[in-house]
Amino acid sequence: MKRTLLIGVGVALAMTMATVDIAGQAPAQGQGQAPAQGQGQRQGQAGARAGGGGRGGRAAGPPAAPTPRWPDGKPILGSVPGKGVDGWGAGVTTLPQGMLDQVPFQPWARAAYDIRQIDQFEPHTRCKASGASRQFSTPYGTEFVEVPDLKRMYILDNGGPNSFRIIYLDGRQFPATLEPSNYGYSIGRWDGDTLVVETRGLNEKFWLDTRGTPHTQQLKFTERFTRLDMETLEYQATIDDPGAYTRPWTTTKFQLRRRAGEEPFEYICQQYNQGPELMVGTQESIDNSKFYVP
Amino acid sequence: MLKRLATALCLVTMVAAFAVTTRAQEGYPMTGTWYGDYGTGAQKKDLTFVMKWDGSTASGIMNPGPGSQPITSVTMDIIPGKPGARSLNNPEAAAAIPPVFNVKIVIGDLTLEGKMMNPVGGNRSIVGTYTKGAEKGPFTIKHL
Repeated sequence: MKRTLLIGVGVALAMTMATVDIAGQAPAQGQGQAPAQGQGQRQGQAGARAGGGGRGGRAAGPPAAPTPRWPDGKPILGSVPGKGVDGWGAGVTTLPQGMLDQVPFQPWARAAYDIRQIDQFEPHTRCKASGASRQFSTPYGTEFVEVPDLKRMYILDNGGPNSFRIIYLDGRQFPATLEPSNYGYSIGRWDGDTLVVETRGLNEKFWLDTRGTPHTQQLKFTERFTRLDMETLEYQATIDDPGAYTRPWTTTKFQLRRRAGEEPFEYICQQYNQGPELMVGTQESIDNSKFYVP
Repeated sequence: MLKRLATALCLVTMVAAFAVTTRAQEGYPMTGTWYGDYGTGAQKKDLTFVMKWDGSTASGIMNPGPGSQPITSVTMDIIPGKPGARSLNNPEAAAAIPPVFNVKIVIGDLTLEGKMMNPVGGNRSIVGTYTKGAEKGPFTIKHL
């Protein structure tokens, strides 16, 4: 009887382990985030036309209010206390934007990037948490939650698997060892009015942007956030990854537009989605024939 | 009863091993664990590779455990394709040709030469021909 019980427990434990691990990965093709990337892009474009989210400069109109600041003079990157909740619209589509030929890809990395222009089975569309610059590509906005008393900031990206990144602002150093993770370990410091954030300990389970800029676990990812005025957040990244590039490189400057008063909403990124065509099937060039895409 | 216990433990080990090794990764395509075989019929032999990438060299071992062997060399020769931007109704996308990843793995006197299928997918595999002395035949390995 005891042995039978032991067998039962052992099998149950094993099945649980497998289930947990597989659930954290990729189910069948096309599962996960409900809206297609195409839908997100259309939203961003609509937002830009309305003077809201999206890339590019501001729509013509009265000059924006100046950069909001905390009592100590540091810029506020998130919502301004007492003035409602703000988010930032999608601002980064592809890190090599405007400079693809200058990006020092290793051959395999360029080949991977080229394939991903054809086959867009991005982990994010299958509900995988996607850190670094991918946080600023979600069509439903990104929010910065600053907690000065705790000397940290949270970056929430609405969409995908509803997760967050912590940026430590307390002057700490990186731990000697880091278990690679989707969001990695981020430490920030102020350089004048620019928040400089370095992230290490990123795993290889996501793309750096919607277009598939590759990376490896050797990546040291540095971001520069500058709130130019009330309406605009400038974003620039430096990629130092000897596993994928022959030398460090810095992106162009992207601009995220404020989404005034837009609260993050509940978003369910659901694995085993039964309507994959709603996610990645809106573009005719996509191969939906693969059965399993982890 | 002991037979049942052994069967259960074997099952536990197999499922646990699968749980540990089945991890998607989007970085260097050779990194990770590969499993497959080479040869045909009764001569077919299992293969397991565990590989890593330091930025310039891929390395690893074959058949981890007693009798494991270090991989002598791994090379990946990439033939560029014809890039195509993906977008709605973009004829360039339809005409795009993906790059080809040709892989050569040498372990002592065993050489595997093949093509990587679906190189940026978690379900990628390498299919090709092995040579070992005068022997020659097919091999297939799949990324776990």
